[in-house]
Amino acid sequence: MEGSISKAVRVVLSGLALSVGLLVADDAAAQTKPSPTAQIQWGIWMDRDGCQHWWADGGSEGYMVDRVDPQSGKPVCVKQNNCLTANTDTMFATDSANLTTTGRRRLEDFFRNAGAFGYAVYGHTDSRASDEYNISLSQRRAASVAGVARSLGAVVEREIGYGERKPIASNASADGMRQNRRVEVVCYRW
Amino acid sequence: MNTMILTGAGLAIVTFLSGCGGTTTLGGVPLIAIPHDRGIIDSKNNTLVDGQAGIAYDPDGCQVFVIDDGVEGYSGRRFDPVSGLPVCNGAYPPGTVIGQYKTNNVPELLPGQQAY
Repeated sequence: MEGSISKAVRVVLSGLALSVGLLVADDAAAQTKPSPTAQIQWGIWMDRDGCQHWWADGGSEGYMVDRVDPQSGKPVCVKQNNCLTANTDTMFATDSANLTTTGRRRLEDFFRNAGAFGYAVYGHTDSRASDEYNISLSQRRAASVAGVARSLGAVVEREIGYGERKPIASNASADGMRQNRRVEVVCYRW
Repeated sequence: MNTMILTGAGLAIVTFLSGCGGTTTLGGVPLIAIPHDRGIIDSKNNTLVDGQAGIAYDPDGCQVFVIDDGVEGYSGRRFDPVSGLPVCNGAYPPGTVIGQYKTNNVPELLPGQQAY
């Protein structure tokens, strides 16, 4: 009788041990990295817009994937294909989105000769005034520039006001702020 | 049956001519791809040329760079370099290819067709 009880206890105990063992094994499996099965040596190919792509030749197949910034997820583009970066001081009066005569003429010349199938227009400001105000001002300025392009029959695929969020220089100096007050045009070419 | 055998033999020849001469290992595993083309028939340029690609339209109307390197094919999405957004103008029907997508003169084996 005693023998059979202890046997039953042992069976239960070994069952528990087995369960614990399986749990441990599962945890270990979840934390063990699988062994590599092959290796790829990636190279960089840069497209006509300056954006990078990883590529590798596999003998009778090829691999390519767009390079992205791990933090932002945005594509990595080193040589930016913006065919116009124009300071806005001569194109607009301060706080205004109405083009000056010289500003309009300059843009008309540009869009007549740029020869792209599509454009993107991006407006930027310095860091004076509020972020919200600057987003609005740069958006309206981008729309004014896009309007000139459209008046000449050009296709503007997007117009975005980034305000003070994408500075290219420090806003601590007058010169830096001047550089940041700009309109960028990207040309999409075949 | 004949077609099957020919297709298999053709694939074997293509595989041989396009490059994998021997098996290289790196860190104990096979090295399956490198940033050079060492094939016999399609290694004229040896590496991809920056900026050189055709543009294809995907089913969403967005542009994709396509490169036919002889035996290999490559594709990567086109992005606006300032905003990082894709370039999607739907200017052509899905699947349309514009521009020079071939980077050498290797005859193409088209799907379901003979080489020309």
